[in-house]
Amino acid sequence: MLDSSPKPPAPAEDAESEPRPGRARKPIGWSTIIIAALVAVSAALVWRRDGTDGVLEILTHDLSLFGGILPRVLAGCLLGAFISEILPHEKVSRSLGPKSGLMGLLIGTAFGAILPGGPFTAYPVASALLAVGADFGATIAMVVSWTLIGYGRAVAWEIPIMGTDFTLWRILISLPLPVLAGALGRFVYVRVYPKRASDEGAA
Amino acid sequence: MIGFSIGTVALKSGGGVPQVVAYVVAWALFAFQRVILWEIPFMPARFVWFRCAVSVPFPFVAAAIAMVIGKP
Repeated sequence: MLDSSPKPPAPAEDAESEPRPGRARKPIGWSTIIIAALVAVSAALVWRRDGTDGVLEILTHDLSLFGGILPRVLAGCLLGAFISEILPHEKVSRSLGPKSGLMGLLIGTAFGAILPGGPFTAYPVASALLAVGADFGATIAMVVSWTLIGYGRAVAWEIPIMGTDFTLWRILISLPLPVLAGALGRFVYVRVYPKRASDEGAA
Repeated sequence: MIGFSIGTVALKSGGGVPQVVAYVVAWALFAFQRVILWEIPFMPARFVWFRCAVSVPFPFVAAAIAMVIGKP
């Protein structure tokens, strides 16, 4: 990529302008195949019970749902892409990297807890953090915190359905879990992937 | 959000609170449709498997904490 660049980067920017390791995305991965198989089976069951009209009705309704979700997915992807470009690799590595210690896990937990939006926001942002130098431990803390103590799902779904008392109590119980999950993640990661861990630690 | 509805039904029909906490936490951590539809497409698959594997003890931990501190 650097060979095709018209101008070499300034020396002071070397650390920031190094190409980040990307990951090749397959257009059809196995998760797509599983989803497609589930859709085909479901459609066949609906067709068998309700006929073509039933399938078409669901398809029409889902097209409007798809149209409503698409802008949010796009916004989440753009948010992740911008974050990975804006955030300085060195500072993220220091704050959320393998050597960030308990503070890195606490920052990941706090970030996950306050992150607004649904999965179309949280996962692109978590992926961007991984790309700019956060380690598995801090990212696990962030994702687990978003799922367990994030306010979005609690306010929209859990409190109306399960009640305020249960939800607040469940969140209180869940408070230490993201940090514990992140710590366990770091502990296991350096033992399962010792070479990667030493490379990331040296970076 | 059918998971919460099932949890509520379990609570109202006599399910223990720590057990329902374990269920809600497990559902939050491992909901199949969320992992397949959202987490795997957006994040490295290696991370997702690792995160799921590391998260296995935590529904039990949450239930244990619920048993220790008592009902809400």
